[in-house]
Amino acid sequence: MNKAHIAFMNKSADNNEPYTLEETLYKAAEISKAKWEMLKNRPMAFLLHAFAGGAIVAFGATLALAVSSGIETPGLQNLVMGLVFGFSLVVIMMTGMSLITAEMALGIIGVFHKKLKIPQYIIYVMAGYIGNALGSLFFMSLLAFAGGPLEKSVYALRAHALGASKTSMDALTIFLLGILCTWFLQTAMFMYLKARSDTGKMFVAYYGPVAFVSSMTEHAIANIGFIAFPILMQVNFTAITGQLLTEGGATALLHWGFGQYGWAYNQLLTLMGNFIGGVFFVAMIFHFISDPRKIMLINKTNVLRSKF
Amino acid sequence: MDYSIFNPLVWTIFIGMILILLVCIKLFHKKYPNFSEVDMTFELETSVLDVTVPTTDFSDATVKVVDASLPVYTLYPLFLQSNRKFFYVKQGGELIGKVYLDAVLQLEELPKSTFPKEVTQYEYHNQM
Repeated sequence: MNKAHIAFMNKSADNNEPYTLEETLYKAAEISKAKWEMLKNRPMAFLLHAFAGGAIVAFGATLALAVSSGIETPGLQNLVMGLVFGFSLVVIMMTGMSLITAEMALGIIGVFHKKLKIPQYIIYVMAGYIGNALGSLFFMSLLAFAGGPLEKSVYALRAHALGASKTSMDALTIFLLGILCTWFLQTAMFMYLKARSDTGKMFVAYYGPVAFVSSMTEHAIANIGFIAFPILMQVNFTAITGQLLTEGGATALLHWGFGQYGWAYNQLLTLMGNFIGGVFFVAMIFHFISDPRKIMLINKTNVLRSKF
Repeated sequence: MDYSIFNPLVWTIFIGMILILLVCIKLFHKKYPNFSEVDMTFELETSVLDVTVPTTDFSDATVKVVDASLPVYTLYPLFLQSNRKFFYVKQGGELIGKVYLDAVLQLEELPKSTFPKEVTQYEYHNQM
């Protein structure tokens, strides 16, 4: 390769337009490959970055609970929750941490692009989930044990009502709301990869959580916090609120199991829905819209650039 | 079953969509067997002339003309920027054929080039 050819191959766009869909998907596949390499070579680092991602989602859940308590107007309550939750995805994406629902969509692009094999994808998604769940549960446990201002009736009632509402729905409803959630969220994630400037990236990443929280859809990692927190707090529920726990409704007795009002019941169905929403309705649709020939050209150009 | 994790409708939709996903992955990989792979021998040892298909139809004046002596990888940015499926090829100032994107990406059997190439001194001695 002579110097003129290298210069020609390195010629890049000098505008501030978003990346093309093909460039975006190429980048998504490269990220999934890099994350798999991280899991393979530095598994503790991978688990820590997923742990941090889970905790950052719990930041959003805590903020949402804190600021929405006491607001009686339902639409306004949802909007306020969404507005403060929005920063979670911005922080996760800007710091390069892991969010399992994003990894599901990124990873499947990696599988289509032959950067990952299906068994590798399954291990990668499972490891990401374990890290996220631990991070979110750890943060919420600290919050519950800290108690403090959250041990006031208005906050405890709001947190419990939210947990009860998420676990009281029928299985199909939770599953379908899980699909809609990641349809919103992963569209924002791909828009983040597509944006060229930091400001643009932050703006589109913010949109995803605002949309899924304000529209009351179900996200597995956010729900770990939203449901675990009232379960951890309900030992003192009667002492804090002066109300007894009931069999159903907003003050229903919550539990960790797979039955109605259970944490695991909501988790499993939400995860299944989140997988279909992000993988099927976002990643796969984007993949089939993109031109494979252009992705091959981008891939070959980048490999040659890296060699010379 | 409405409030059970074993809801049959949920599992039918979930498993059905996963099966569709697996079939889509399999079909895509079958259609593009060398997707994402880079054959450095091909990239570095192939010239535009090697993948040029001879033609006499050069009626479209908007098609870019590339030089036959260029290495094949110099066409990648050109194809990316232009959205064209082919370019015209010139050799010694004369249009001689077309170079197709699919041939450059090895998505189809490369046509045997019919153009005479200069015989190197090494090849000349070998042929003797």
